[in-house]
Amino acid sequence: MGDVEALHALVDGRRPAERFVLDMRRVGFVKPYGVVALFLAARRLAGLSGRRVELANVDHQVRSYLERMDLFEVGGDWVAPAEGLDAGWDRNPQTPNLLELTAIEGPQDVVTAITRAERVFSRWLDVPDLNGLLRVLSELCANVHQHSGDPLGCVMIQKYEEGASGRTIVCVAVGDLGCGVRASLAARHGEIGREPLDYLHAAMAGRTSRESGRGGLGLRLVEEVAKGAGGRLWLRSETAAVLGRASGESRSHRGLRHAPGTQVAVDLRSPFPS
Amino acid sequence: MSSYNFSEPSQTSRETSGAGKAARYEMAGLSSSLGLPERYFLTREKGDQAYRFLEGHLGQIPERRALILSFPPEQVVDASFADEFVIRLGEKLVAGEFGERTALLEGLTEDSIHNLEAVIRLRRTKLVFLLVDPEGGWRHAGPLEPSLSEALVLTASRGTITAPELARDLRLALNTANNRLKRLHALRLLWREHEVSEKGLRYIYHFWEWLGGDDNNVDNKVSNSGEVRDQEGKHG
Repeated sequence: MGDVEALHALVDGRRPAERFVLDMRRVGFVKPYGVVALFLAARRLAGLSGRRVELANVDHQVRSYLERMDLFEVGGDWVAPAEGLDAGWDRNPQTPNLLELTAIEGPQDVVTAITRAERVFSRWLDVPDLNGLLRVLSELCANVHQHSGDPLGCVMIQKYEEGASGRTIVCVAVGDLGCGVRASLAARHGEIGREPLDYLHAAMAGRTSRESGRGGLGLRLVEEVAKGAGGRLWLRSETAAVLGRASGESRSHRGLRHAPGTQVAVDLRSPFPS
Repeated sequence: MSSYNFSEPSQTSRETSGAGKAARYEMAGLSSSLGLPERYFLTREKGDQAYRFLEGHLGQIPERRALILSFPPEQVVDASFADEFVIRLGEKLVAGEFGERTALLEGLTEDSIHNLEAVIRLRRTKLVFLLVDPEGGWRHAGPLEPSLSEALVLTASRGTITAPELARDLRLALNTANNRLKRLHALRLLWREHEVSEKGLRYIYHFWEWLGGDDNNVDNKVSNSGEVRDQEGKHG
């Protein structure tokens, strides 16, 4: 999260310029939340310059990873490596480790993401764990297209081996540049609090922006799954964030550098504790 | 969670006029109609569409009958769909908007049941759903007090019951037995009819049927056109 916050600090308050170049020389590893953040940052900066953002001095492995994650495919209008893309990239379509960066424009994309994720992760996740992952994915993606107002939200999933423990971590990242949690809830409930953090807490407690009054379950379900899976949930919107851990610890952050929309990272540990 | 199997239809001397024949709706067909892959039931939008589609069908089956929502194997039902479709259906049933009818859920995986129960819990609703199988087994999803569960199991084993019978079998005060049956009926876990005798008004409570029996040897199927037909294509 710290590196992503540094990226937000770089982007926040930027003035229009002819072009933007992000120097990636100090980036040795990128996780899904970082890829999503990079995608969103590129969209913001490209909006200020009218040109694609260039990524310079990208480590070869990092670049391979970003290409594998489809960052330059999905984000082609906003970001590209300064040195140009490799021709003849040969992707293994059968890899069971990840769901590439996927745009969420509407409900059909949610369905597509879930069916793909089930296909990918059913190879090695036990059914209860797979169900937990799909529940998280479904709720987070639905929030993007139903509440954000951003037609270019995205999602990404990857699994990692956790060092010496041998356990596996599944990382889910979702992000958009939409209206954010505060505007979404305020439209229905009016003023709940004085700052974005108040609205994050309300969202986590089940407040919904739906006119019907139904809903408000998604983030609570996600938090349940994350904590039940020995993992954590990070919810960020505008200048605030909430971190929930399996230990029960919950930490709130305010006064962060402004990032429009909503970004979520969920880590799940497999096998999930029963 | 306990499961029960009462595959032998219980003997009762009471007439159950027009009751007992369940109608089955294959949810795989609904998911296709909604533009979803066959065993996937996802998103709140699709759940809303599913509810609007099915509420008309439910209203067309005769009262005192159940509509079996039969899910395809290995289905994936997310919480949003479950909330918008199943929970909403349950709320409307309990509110009496569909009269003396109910919906039974068949073929749900443990994961789908888990999701459904999570939604019930988070919404703090008191809804209870009967989960049935084609062999006659059943269980419930949702919070049911032990006393009500006890009464429900007994009623299911008998097929029909009155408050005096429940009071006698469970050694309860008549008022207590009466209240338990009323509450189960309010939850749409039982249906009831009444008799008027010299002793006054008396309710007879029935457990839902969904298997073939002496007067219930075909399944009624709800077609996409909304007509209710039996397996021979005759109107039910």
